[in-house]
Amino acid sequence: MNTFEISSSTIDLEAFRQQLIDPACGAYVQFDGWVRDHNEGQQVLQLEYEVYEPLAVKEGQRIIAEAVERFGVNNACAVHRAGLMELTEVAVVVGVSSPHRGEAFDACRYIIDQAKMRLPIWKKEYYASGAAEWVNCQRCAHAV
Amino acid sequence: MSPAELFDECRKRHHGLESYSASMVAINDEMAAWDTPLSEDDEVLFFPPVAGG
Repeated sequence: MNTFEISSSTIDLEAFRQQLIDPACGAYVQFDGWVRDHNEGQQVLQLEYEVYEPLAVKEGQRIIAEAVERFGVNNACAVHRAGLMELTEVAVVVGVSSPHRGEAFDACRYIIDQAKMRLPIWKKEYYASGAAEWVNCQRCAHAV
Repeated sequence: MSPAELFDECRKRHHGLESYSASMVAINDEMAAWDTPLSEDDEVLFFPPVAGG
């Protein structure tokens, strides 16, 4: 099972995990990205993700396929949220199952790192001060 | 013409656009390189820097 999805509602983590269960696998690695209450010295109250879905899904599926090919894991899935989110909600989840743990950790890391760089998804932070800002991609800012 | 050249054309017409070096480009809903040759009727999308996850 290799899938990438965009979801505009709360991610069902138990259902997500279920789809990666495989009797050939002895290792399961999951990464959750959570909505955090601070960024660069500002107190964050809410987050909003804007997603260009047709391309995000295609590129996300490509990242999953690359991870499976590169690390030889059996199953890899990811879901990224869209829309307005509250603190501690799961914004993104990546799950990988494989016979052994090494390649599962590596593939999971690869998927979340590539997702952050390549998916057409933008993050807006709402601050305690009342201000709201689109967050710049750090890697991209350094590339300028 | 490439997406890079197309972007430069847009910069001439629209104030406030800066360099494309930090952005991404897609042609017909596929991520593409900035020097990909464009064909007639291609749909080109320019993306500001992303910050998902």
